[in-house]
This record gives sequence, C-alpha cells and structure tokens, in this order.
Amino acid sequence: MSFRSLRRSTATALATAAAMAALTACGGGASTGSTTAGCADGKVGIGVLLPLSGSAAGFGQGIRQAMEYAASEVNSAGGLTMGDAKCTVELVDFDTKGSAEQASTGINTLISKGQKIIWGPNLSHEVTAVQPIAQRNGALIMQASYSSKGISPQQPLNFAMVTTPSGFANPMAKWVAAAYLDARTALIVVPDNEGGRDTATIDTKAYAGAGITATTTTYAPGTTDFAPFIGNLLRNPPDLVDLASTPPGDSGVIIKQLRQAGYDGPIGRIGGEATSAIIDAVGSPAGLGDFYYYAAIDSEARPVQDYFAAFAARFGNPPLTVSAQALPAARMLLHAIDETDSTDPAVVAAALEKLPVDDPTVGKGVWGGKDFYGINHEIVLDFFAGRYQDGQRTLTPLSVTGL
Amino acid sequence: MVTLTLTQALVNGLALGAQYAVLALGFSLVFGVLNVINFAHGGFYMLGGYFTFSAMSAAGLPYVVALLVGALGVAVVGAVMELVLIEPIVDNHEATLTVSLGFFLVLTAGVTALYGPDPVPVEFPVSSVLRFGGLYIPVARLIVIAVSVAAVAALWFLLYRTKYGLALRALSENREVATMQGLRPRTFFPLAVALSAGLAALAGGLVTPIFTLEPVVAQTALMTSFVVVVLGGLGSLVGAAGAAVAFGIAEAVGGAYLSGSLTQLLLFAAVLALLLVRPTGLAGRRLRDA
Amino acid sequence: MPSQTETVTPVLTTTTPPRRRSAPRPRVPWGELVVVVVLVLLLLLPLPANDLQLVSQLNHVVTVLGAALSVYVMMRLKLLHFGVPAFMAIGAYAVALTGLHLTSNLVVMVLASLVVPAVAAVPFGLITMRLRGTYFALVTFLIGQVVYLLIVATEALGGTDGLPGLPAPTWGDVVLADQVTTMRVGVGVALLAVLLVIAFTAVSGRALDSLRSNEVLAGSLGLRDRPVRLGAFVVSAAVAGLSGFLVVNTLTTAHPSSFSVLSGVDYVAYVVVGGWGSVLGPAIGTALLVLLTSQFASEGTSASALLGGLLILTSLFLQRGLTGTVAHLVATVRRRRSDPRRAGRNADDDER
Repeated sequence: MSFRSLRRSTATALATAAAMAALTACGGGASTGSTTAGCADGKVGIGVLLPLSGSAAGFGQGIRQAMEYAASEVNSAGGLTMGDAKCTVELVDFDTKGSAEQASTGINTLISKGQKIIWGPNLSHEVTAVQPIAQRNGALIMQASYSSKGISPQQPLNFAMVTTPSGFANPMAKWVAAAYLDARTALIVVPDNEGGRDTATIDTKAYAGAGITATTTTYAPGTTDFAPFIGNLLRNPPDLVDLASTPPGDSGVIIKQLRQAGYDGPIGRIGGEATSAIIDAVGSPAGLGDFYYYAAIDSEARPVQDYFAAFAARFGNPPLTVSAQALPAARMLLHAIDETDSTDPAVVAAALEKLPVDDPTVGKGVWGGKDFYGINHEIVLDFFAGRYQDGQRTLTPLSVTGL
Repeated sequence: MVTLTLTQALVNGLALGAQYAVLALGFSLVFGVLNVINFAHGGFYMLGGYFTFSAMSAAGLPYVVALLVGALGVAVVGAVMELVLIEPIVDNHEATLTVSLGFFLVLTAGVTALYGPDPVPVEFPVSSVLRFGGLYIPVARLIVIAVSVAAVAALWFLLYRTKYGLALRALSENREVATMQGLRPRTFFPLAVALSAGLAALAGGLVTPIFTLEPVVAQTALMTSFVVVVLGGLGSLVGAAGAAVAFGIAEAVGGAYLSGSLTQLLLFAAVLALLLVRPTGLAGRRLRDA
Repeated sequence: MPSQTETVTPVLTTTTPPRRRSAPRPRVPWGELVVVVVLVLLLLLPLPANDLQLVSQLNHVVTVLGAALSVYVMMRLKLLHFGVPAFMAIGAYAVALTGLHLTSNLVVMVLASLVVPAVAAVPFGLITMRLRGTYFALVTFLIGQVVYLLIVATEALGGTDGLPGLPAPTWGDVVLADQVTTMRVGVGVALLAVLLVIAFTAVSGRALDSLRSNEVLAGSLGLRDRPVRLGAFVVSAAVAGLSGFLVVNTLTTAHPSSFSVLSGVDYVAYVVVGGWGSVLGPAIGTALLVLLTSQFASEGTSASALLGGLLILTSLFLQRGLTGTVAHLVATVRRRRSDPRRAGRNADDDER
C-alpha cells in the first residue's frame, strides 16, 4: 500500500523506516505473533511496557532491571533453548511515561512488532488501558499494579508479578495489632489518585479485621508542604498513621513533618515497599522514629546482597531495590518459555501457572490470589514486617505460604 | 483551639510565602527587563537544589557554602542560557517562550538521567523545633523566612540603589530610550537572567532539603511561579512579592481546614475569577503589545 | 462578525503597502487542500488490517490532530494556548457520560464532544480575551490545572478512577468497534475538525490576520477584537473536544491522566514545529512528532529531551515552523524571480 500525496509520503516513509528498523533490530518473530520451536534471528523478545520516565519512573525502571538481569543471566548461560536452537533474550522497550494512552499506543506497537509476552505495565490505569487490546490479541501480560482488576478469571493470560495488598495487608495488620497492643485508631494517608485510593480501601478492611478502626485522608498529588494537613491531623491524633502506597518523596516529607510537629506515635506503611527511597527522603533511619512497613524482601540478606553486587558488576550501577521483588517473576517467565520451547502466550501461560515459586535470591512462595481476584495468578512470597526504632531495624518473617 | 490552628497555619504560610516570593520575583524580573516569559525558571529552582546537594555530597562543602556555590553555578547557567538561546531571538515573544520551554524539558530530562527519578538524600542542617503554647515552629522555616527577606532586600537594594539596578530598571521601563542612552542590552540581559536564576536556585537549595528533592519539583515550582505572578501582575515586583505571601498564607490556611486538592482548586479558580475583573493581576501594569 | 470584516476589508487593503504586489492574486489554499485530500484518502482507501502498528500510529496521529488544531486556531492570533487538555477533557467526559447513560449513537457523541466544550469555553474565553500575548499563555496553564482538579474532585465523573467501560459508537445498527474502524472514525472526526477550522479561518481570516499584525491599528479601524478572540477560543475548544472524544474512544475509558496539564505542552510543540500558516502546519507537526516520540519511546530514550531539543532548534532556526519556513523560502524565490531589485526584502506577515 502506498499513498502518493506529498505529506503522506514523508510520514509513511518515516513510519516505514521506523517499523523496518524496529523489526530488524528486534527480529522477535513475524508480525502474526506466535512462534513455536526456534526463534527468528536467534532472538526471543520480551516486550517491556513500563513507565521509564515521569513520576513513576522509580518503579518502572526498577521492574525493568529485574527482567534485564534475568535476561542477562539466561544469555550468559547460552540463552534459551527453543527446540534445537539457542536463542538470546532481548528486551523490546516502550516507555509509557505513566500515561494510559502511551500505554495503549505501547501495547499496539509491541504487538505489531511481534511481542506478545509483555513485562509490565506498572500503574493501575495503564493496566486498564492495555487489557482490552492485549486480550483481543492474545498477549500475555505480567503486570506489577495494585489494580483490583489486574488479574481475573476472565483474563487467563494476565499475571501479577508481585504480591499485592490483598495478599499482604491482612497478615501485616494482624502483626501491627500484636506489636502495638494499645492501638485502636489509624489514619491512612494516600494521594488522591486511583492507586492511592485502591490501596487505602484494602488496608482499611485489613485493619478492621485486626480490630483497628481506620479512616482515610487524601492529599493533592504535587503537594510539597504537608504541614497544613498535619496540623489537621494533630487535632485528633490517631494511634497510628499509615502511609499505604504514598510515593517515597511524599512519604519522606510527611514523616519528617509529623516528627517535627511532635507526633511520636508509630508511622507505618502497608503498601508497596520503598523503604530505602523513603530513608533517603527523610535523611537518615533515625529520622523515621517508630516506623513499621511491609518488607517484601530482606535487603540485607546474603542472597539479595549478592544480587545487588552481581547486577552492579554486570551493568555498572547497583539496581533499584524494588527490582529484587520482581526478580522471581522475571526468572519464572523466562523459565516457562524455555521449558515449553514456545513464545505462544497461551502455551507459556499454562506452563507458568504450574511452575513452583522458588527463587534463589528471594526464596519460596506460592501462586495465590484466588480469594481476592478469583484466580491464582499472583506470585505471593513470604515477606517480612519491618520495623525501625531508634534507627535500628528489625525484620519479622511473616509466612503466608505456610512453607 | 481555632486560633491555635490558625496561628500555626499563618506561620507555615509565611514561610511558604517567603520562598514563593523569592521564586516569583526572579520570574517577574526577567519579564520586566527582557519581556520574556522564562519557562526554564522552574528548572533553575530544581538545579539549585541539585547543585547544593552535589556540592555537599560530592565536594563535601558545608551547607551554607554549598548553597551559595549552587546559586552562583545556576546563575552562570542562566546567563549562558540567555546568551545562547534567548539573545538571538529576544524580540520574538513566542519563540523565547518556546525556547525556554525546550530548555526546561532538556534540564529536567538531564537531571533525571544523572540523578535518577527518585528523591536524593539531602538534609537541612538545622532540625530543631521551637515549641510554645501548643505551636511548633521548625527553626528551618524561620531560616527560610530570614534568608528570603534578606534576598528580597538585597534585590531591592540592587535595583534601587545601584547603577546596575538603575540600568535594569531603565531597560524595563523603555528599552528604546535606554538603549539610545547607551545602555547595552547585551550586557544587562544576561545579568538579569543570571540574577533571576540565582534567586530561583537559592529558593531551591534552601527549601528542597526541608521537603524533598526530586526532578518533579521543577514542575511544581514553575506552576507556582505562574500563578503567583499572574495574581500579582506581570512586571510588578511589589505585586509579585505581595501575591506570593498572600498565596502562601491562603494555601496554608486553606490546607489546615479543607482538603489539599480542594484548596488548590479554590485558589486557582479564585485567581482566574480575579482576572475577569483585573486582567493585569493585582498590581500589574498594562502590558505592551505582545 | 461577517459585517465587521466587510466594513474593514476595503480599508485594510489600502493600508497594505501597494508596492508589494501589482494585483492581489487569489491565493490557493494548498495547505488546506492537501490535508483534506489526505484525510479523505485515509477514510476510503483499504489498509492492511493486520499491520497493527500502522493502524495504531495513524489512529494516534488523527486522535491528537484536533488538539494541535486547537492550538493552531489561537496561534493565528499569535496566542500560545496551553490549556487544550482542559477542553479535550470536557469533550471527553461529555462523550463518556453520553455513552454510558444516554446513547452510543456516533452523531450524538460527536455533537456532545463539540458543543459542551464550546459552551464551557465561553466563561474562560471571557477571562482570557482581555489578556495580551504571553500573559494569555500563563493563564491557559492555570485553566488546564483548574479543570483537571475539578474533574478529579467530582465523584460523578469517577474522580481519580475515571469512567471506564465506554460503549463503542454505533451508526444505526452497526457497532464501530474494531481497530481499523476506530481509526476510520478517528479520521472522519479529524476531518470534521479540519473543516471546522478551515471554515472559521475563511470567515474570520482577515480579522484574525489584522489582529495578529497590528492590534492597535486594527482597533482604530473599527475591528472589535473581543468577539473575534472569543470566537477563536470557542472554535479552539470545540476541536479540542473532538480530539477528546477520539482519546476516550481509543482507550474506552475517560481517565484524568489522559488530560494532564503538561500534555498541553506537546500540542503546542506540534504547531510550533509544524508551522501555522495553514492547517498543513499542525498536521505535519503532529504526524512528525507523534511518530518520532513513539520511536523514541521504543528506544527507552527520553522523549521529553527530544521534544525539548526540537523546540529549541525550531525556536532558534525555524521560527515559522517547518511549513512556514518552506512557504517563506518559496515566496522569497518567487519574488526574486519576479523582481530582482527587491531581492532581500523581508516577507510580510501574511506569507507565513
């Protein structure tokens, strides 16, 4: 098909050039999608659809790093075995910039480049934008959001790469009730957006189940000074303040200002882990005061430290801490492809959901999520309740898997 | 109890207003002297924070020195930006706006690439808090107020008691006549932008250790500059300073009683409503043709 | 408004320096013709349905074309409009509410996305029409922020979650849902936007141009600027609303994150880079930048650094945008050929 008008030919030339460059660079199979044994150009592509820039870039880049590392592990061992061929794993990136339409453009672009195994997206509204298109095209999505519709029985090709609040909130709340015996009220602080409110809803239920009454208050995203709203808070100080999934920068300021205002009670975070970024934002562990949090992994544990060092050795800089959380999922995804010799999403999905969750760096886990989502497509790992007191950290292992 | 909340909010508001004033004055200054809307202004604020941070962490300088070094460094960046990007097109109002916007985007992308998207660990050296009668005043905020007042006073002195300031004011009043009298824009324009950038950087280096330092602060600073300067009136320094303090106090007081989003919405809507009645802001002068 | 341009026209032609041309030659609107023809072709010609990327890229381009046109209309008055996302959002949410509660009829949806932002533009227009040039730019940012906050604060609009699950538009019994059809709907709506803008500039073109070149003079000649500016602002809002419709039609969700204040910068960039002498400018700027940013997103490189760099380069070297610079060169060459004595004289404004 060629269009012969003046402007169209320029744009077409650009689009064609772009498409050709992309296709030759990636070689991830024909644009009809699935391949069985073997791989085009000796490469198997994994579509990366994450916020690599913008305000969520901290998470997006960290999650990408997990796949980057898992891929490099596989490649240095010779690559994936696809039938008789050995194929290198290659990441095909698309930066969603944290917006729904970029995510939607991204999924279309990746699918048309033959990528039907997608690592990402990260944010709830990205997942919502991507799902219908992925489903229509039979693409597999391994996503990292806390959306309550992230996985469901109606979307058998959707997976959740990390434990979501529905998995960790209840055990955490019970630990909190046991650690702070006199706590009866909690105030949950979240930004006024979809992710914030979703997490707050889950946390409120969890606290209720543990005998603590929680109320939620929201702040405008982009707020730099939380002092006014802290003044509000202190008129009726709650027994606990929970920051849920507030971004680390904001969390840091809130903690600093709460402590300055004289609030001595425990501050907690039953939400996505971002502890090292929060400590950076606060300035030092001592500045946290009494702080409890959901710790997906023990970042001081030997295997995790080894991972950080190995990553630094391969790529020059240590990874963002959040990447360790996504590492099991990355390895499992590649393993499923290797095992089935296939990049057909349905085939890979079937193998994936039967793989045991047992990761050399992070430890054991199970496929969970049936209760909350209706389908066991969530990687649930045993985790820890972390606590800082006087700058000293303690981690209490909490087992959800019964392992 | 009500008066306590109000008093607390007023104190917070004054600190906010003081930093907004430093930020807005620089922005207004560039408009006054060059007739240029400098979108990169928020970027200078952010750079001030990062230069101060790097001066402390990489070069080991004590905070006060780092702050001054940072402000000076960003002032140089501002002057260079003016000479390279603005000077060739200074009379084209749309082009200077878009070129400064482009520079803002490049600055933000550069900082994100160098320092990462997450906050960097920077702490304000003074963390003591004054407490009396139920009020708490972090000393850091008092320092912000003091330094801001000093900066504004220094700016006033520069503009109204020195020859350079006189030249800047003359150029802003009537560029043609000033030029005919021998004042060369090529000398003074970079100075004006350097001054404005230095002020923004001072605000950035002062405030971000108290709150948080991450690339997105550039955007917030830019939006704040816009709304304060529109409220106060473009080109009026007194207007900018007054509007800054008023806005800071309104933000703090509103935030103490209403939710944050609602306060922001009401404030912005109020500014827009004001423009219906006074299109040039509270104290703005009638702009020359665009 | 027509009566004003008619009274003004004869006076204006005598103020343009008569030495410049011997007789006013009818100007063929090449830019407008090219864009309309291309859109009609896209609407009718068959496309490879399994080339997802091509369909998706084309869809993206036509979706935001309305936003670029929205900026273009105000650019004709030398005003930079950064508040386009606000009116896109108003159109988008109007369509969403229509689709979810009233009907999914295509015509009704298009009308909703046109009319509601146009009406909403009136109070904002009243605020901005008294503002000069670059002041206007700042205030449009504030408008964008206010509308965004308003949407997020309103529960009936889904607040921070937005309104998901929009039905596909219907034409009689036909549901217009698959990807190629959605793209064609996009082309059709973009075509509508282009025609609207062409109609507006045809009717008010002279008034716009005279206000742009010399507002004081135009005013002294009896041209009232406020109705023209308000009219431009309303038309600008209407085409932005059409673009908003296409955004939610592609995503099947009306979500506030699609209409962030900073995205207004992208749409301004499309016009600044493409040019604003005719609708060809925004069209080229949109196509070029959408394709380039998509390519950069695939490389994981910073698209905003790219955009920033492009803005800097065009501001310094291509101050009329791509189409404007080309038009200027063509005009200069033409003039040199027709009268070598006047080679080197600067082109006047209406050759941009």
